[in-house]
Amino acid sequence: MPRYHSILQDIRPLTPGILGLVVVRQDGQSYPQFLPGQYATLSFPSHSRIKGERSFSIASSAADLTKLEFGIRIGGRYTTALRQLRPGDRVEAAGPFGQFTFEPFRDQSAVFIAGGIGITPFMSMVQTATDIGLRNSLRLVYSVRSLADAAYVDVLNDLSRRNPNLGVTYVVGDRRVPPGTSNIRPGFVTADIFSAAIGKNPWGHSYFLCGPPAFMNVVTKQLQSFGLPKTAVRTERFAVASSALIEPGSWLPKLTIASWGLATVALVGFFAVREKDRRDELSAAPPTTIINRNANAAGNTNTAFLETPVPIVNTAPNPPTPPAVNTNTTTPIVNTTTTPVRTTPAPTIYQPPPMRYVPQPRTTVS
Amino acid sequence: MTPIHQHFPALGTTVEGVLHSSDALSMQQVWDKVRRLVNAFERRFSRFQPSSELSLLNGQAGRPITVSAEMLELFLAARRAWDRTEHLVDPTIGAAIISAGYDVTFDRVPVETVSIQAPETNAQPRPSLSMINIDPIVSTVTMPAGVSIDMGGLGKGFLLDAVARTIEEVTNDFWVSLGGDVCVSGTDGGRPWRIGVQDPAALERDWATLTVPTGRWAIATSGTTKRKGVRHGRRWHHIIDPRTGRPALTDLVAVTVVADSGLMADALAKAILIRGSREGLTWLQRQHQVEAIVITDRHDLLTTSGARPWLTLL
Repeated sequence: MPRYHSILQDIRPLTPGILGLVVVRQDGQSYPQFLPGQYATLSFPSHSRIKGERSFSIASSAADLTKLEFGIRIGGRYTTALRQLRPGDRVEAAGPFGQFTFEPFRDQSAVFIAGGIGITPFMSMVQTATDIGLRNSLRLVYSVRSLADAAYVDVLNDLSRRNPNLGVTYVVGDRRVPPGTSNIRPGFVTADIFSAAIGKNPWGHSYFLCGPPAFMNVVTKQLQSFGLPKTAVRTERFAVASSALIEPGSWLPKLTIASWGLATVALVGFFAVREKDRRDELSAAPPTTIINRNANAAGNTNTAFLETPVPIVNTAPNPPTPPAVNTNTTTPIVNTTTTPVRTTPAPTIYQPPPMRYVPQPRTTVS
Repeated sequence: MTPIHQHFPALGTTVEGVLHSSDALSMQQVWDKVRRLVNAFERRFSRFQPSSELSLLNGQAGRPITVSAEMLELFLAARRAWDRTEHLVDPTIGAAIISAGYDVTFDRVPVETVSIQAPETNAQPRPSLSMINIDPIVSTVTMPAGVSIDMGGLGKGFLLDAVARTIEEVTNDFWVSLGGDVCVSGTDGGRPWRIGVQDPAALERDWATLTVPTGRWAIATSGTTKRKGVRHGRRWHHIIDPRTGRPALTDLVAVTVVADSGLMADALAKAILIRGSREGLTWLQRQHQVEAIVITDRHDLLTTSGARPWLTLL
């Protein structure tokens, strides 16, 4: 997987707890085309305290490949250290990765449900759709603890003005709703809020969900209470076989299995665990769930999310299956006998190429 | 060979395509060329841009106006389409469109609420392309007073052909779409191209796919469900019948045509829609290198004999 030598162009707080980064390529070229919703892995070689690489959703528009923007929740040691970054710092970017993607022809009517930092992939989706003039119906439900925690509000307001097909509803946990606002609801994501966003018929929409695990579990159950199967809701899970794909021409979801097979999944998972352990030792970062892009993966097990706001500890998305790196540090055994002893090299970690969606032609009424 | 997907906004819609090639740089270069071609076309031929060549031409009645080579080429293409459709596709319906309420780009017209003005009754003959003098020798166009041109219906198909020729400079395996008018060429990685056909009653999904033989094909769909309204209790739409100057009275809600050029696919789809199911398909059977699928307002599905094996219902 190619890595792009990049430069940090801008760093600024988007909210008290969210840091915004903008990176550009060092050679001035554009980044490769990515699909809205995908992520990239970043590392920062200029800083000895920011060790290793992490994955972050690309928050910028896929129609502008001159830069990549990210929104990062500050919480753990790694993300807190990002505050040291300054414009001009070197960044190594790799990607794009991921299948949590918005596809214009498939997702004619899309419902995006974001909890906290889970807003970032949806920012790329709505910006891209607006920039390229898509007429897809887009409904964004953005749940935050308070309005002060809501990132990209100005950007979303601007997009709503430019795109008549985009509707944004904020849901604020602290129930402090400014007077005179029609798109801010107090409390938490409920069936009423969904109905207001999508109408009475939940079918015929593509659902996307991203946020802390507890938030996602509760919202998934809510959507199931409408009669929607779990497979109708796209969430970012372990890469291979769990993303539901909807093929053109059918608005019922279909589960597709990647061609690697489940055996390869298990093998990759095994080596991913080994690599994770090695990286944990190097970076001393708090342990995180492997390859799960739920925004808050740092052991938040609060299931009473609907009732009580939960402090988000570390919402940085976790690294993907790491690239192939041979970490074998075993030195050959020096044998005093005449028979040389060979050591078995540690197996390398297989990094499959990211799956790319290639759209099919479609004739439409004009 | 790797499929390379590109898209950009233009013409009030999306220009999109997939090109199969092993040379990503050439693909990027040809796509940049396509983008420039489409943008130049829009600047020149949009009737919604006051500074376009077409808008300037529409404002000059009664005297020969020297036009650009591109404008002349489009006028000649319009005349070919006008001839082939037996005058049913006529770019002089511009005034009729304005009187129907479409005096702004279709992007901003709400489909439910536009109401047409009553057609003016007067003694003047209805405008027709036959009234326009096109002189290819000296590159002039002379338009009589009261006649304006709208190349929207034909321009997209014409442009699609130009885009396809541009892409063919570097690859023969591709598809490209200009707002739903599609050109496919070659194969999709060795397999025939499968084209989704939008459901006119539910625009968010497809009702069928067309698997066309290897070759270069253009596919266009005309329909009455996308831009429509109600006036005096009568359902109407934006497909104007040049014989009456009003929205065509037809039993068809959608016509999909497969032809060897975008210009003709577009033109023939409209012509069949204007004629209606019985007359339209009978007429079409006499045409060459053209197949069609139509949906009536009673939800009947009719096809030409050649299109039937290509069709897969979803």
